[in-house]
Amino acid sequence: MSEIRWSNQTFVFSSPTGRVYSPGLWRLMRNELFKMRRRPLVWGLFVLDLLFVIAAWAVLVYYAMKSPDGFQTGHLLGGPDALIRAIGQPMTLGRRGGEFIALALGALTFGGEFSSGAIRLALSRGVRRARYLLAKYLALAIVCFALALFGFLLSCLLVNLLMLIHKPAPTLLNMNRQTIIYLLEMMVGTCENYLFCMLLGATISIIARSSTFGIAAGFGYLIGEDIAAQILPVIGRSIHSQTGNQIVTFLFTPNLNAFYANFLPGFLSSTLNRLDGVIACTPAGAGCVPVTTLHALIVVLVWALILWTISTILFIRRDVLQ
Amino acid sequence: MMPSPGMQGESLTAQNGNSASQVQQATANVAQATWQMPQIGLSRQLPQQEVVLQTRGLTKVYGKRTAVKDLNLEVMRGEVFGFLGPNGAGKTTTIRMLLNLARPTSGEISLFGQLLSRHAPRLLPRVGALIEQPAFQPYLSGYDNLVAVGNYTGGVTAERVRDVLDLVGLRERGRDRYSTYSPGMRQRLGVGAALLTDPELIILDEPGNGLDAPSIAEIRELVRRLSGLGKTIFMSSHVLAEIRQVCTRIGIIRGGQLIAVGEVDELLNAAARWEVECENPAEVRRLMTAVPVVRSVEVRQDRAIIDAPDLRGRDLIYYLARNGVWPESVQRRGQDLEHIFRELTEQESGL
Repeated sequence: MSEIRWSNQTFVFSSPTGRVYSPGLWRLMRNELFKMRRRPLVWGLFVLDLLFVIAAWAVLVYYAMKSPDGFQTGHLLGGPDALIRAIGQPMTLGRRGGEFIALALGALTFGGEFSSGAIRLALSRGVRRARYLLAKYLALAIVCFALALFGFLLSCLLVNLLMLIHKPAPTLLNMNRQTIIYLLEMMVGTCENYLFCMLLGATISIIARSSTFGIAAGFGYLIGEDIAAQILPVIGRSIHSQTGNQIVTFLFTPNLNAFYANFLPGFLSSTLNRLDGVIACTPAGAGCVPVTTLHALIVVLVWALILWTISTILFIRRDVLQ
Repeated sequence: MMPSPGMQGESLTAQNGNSASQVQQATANVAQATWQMPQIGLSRQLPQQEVVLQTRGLTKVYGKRTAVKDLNLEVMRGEVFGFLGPNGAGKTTTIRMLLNLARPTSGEISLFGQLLSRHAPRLLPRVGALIEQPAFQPYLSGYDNLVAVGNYTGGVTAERVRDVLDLVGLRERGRDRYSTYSPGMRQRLGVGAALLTDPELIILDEPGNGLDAPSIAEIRELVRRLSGLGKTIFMSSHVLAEIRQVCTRIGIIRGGQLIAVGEVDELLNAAARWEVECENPAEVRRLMTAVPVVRSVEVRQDRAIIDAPDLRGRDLIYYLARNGVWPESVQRRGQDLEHIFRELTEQESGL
């Protein structure tokens, strides 16, 4: 440090500054995206999500190699539904990993600034707190959408490589209107899942003012609720009560999964248990609550409203700690 | 005219015609002098100067602990104001309230003549601040951090960012990640961020933290240059030497309360004491204790230390002589600012 000397220039600055002001939402959001773009960890999490997709595709390839008849009509990679299956499987596993990644991103974006103290720099410059919070959420929403989109695009890309193993195999050339509709619906479900997981991570990290705690508690919450969704009905049955089932229908994570599961075509749901069952609740299995899409959406929205309110009040009203 | 020994114990009144006017003058001087030190400047009237920063009854309470209590401050345009206090005195809490990072429990803050609580988004972009330890995004480079900070206020060009990096001597390391910076470099970047938007008011909280002696000297020089450009600077520190050379006024805070504020010369003058060397210092103490302007008299060996900074030397000598005390010497001892600071803060805390 001591070898570096301050500039000896006789003037203070040669370049003038423009008019200073409290920036708008758009500028703040772009600034947040700028910070995220320059953050290696964000890229690392992005790559990790894509690795989930690749891993799911690798399982598909393994299945194809072990079962050559899988490419026959009526099997996993044969028939008119082959393409949606081949794209849907990696997407679904990518979604499971992506939920945790979105949660981590939310926690890192807020908790990281609290932990490092960098938030002081922003809020001491006259930035409106509510606007700053909203800008961060919007930037995170864009990242979540990008996460879902890249998972989808990678799934689409990888499916064409099945040709290397077996011919004929499903490719994007088999794309039809019905497949596009299914894939878009899965995208909607994925984005919804990511957004609410991000909100959960952000809120916990704002409450705790720590990204580490936000990530740890958020992960624990997601997994814990997945497990609870399976245990509660069992407990309910053992005591001859429906209470367990009723509680599950109002939990956060099971409804997130249920929302996604409701967008999956039936034939895909039935074959995804093996892939997606790696983490407690499966989107189409017993762990998920049998509720309508609307119910799942409303329950999640109520949860989101609670999380949003808590995070907003705390962010705006609380002092920035030393 | 020499007073006779029989006049011992006499009060400061005229005893003969020749000395009548002198005695009256001396009496008036002693009586009119008032001890101002703890309140210096608190109610000073500055002619036609714009108040850039003002606090009124500013109080911050955390649970049962009062971090800042009824703080009244005024900083004028172009002034370099030093905010002094030991660790935990409430300096940083005050600064955090000035920057809208903490809400005052009661009281008001005005910046540029407007209430901060109502107009923060309009006022704070005109303020540059270094708060506590510099805190930037560890994963961004120094350059990118300044770009991000500039985006919070607008008006910052790439050239300006390079200029700032140049100014704080970080041009060569500007593209390196902040997490690789040494504490001194982080502090430099913090100072750079405070100056990024050419602010009218610059708030520096312990700017010398983590810096070596030459760098502290350079910060001092920078503050002087900025002051020369008409910037108002509010600088806090617990190290008196760090700011005494650049500040035009100093406020001393202890236990959340402002215990003294004034120009450096004022404070030095207010803390000056008379040292009277004589055969009978106890008698000097007896005599001087009765004088209203005298705060205290201390006897050390053959000397009496009189705490009465506004007492004139000739009045003191005359008074003693008229009461039959013939001093060997009477000297005015100026206090070092460091000593004053220590004394004031210890006094207030009852140490």
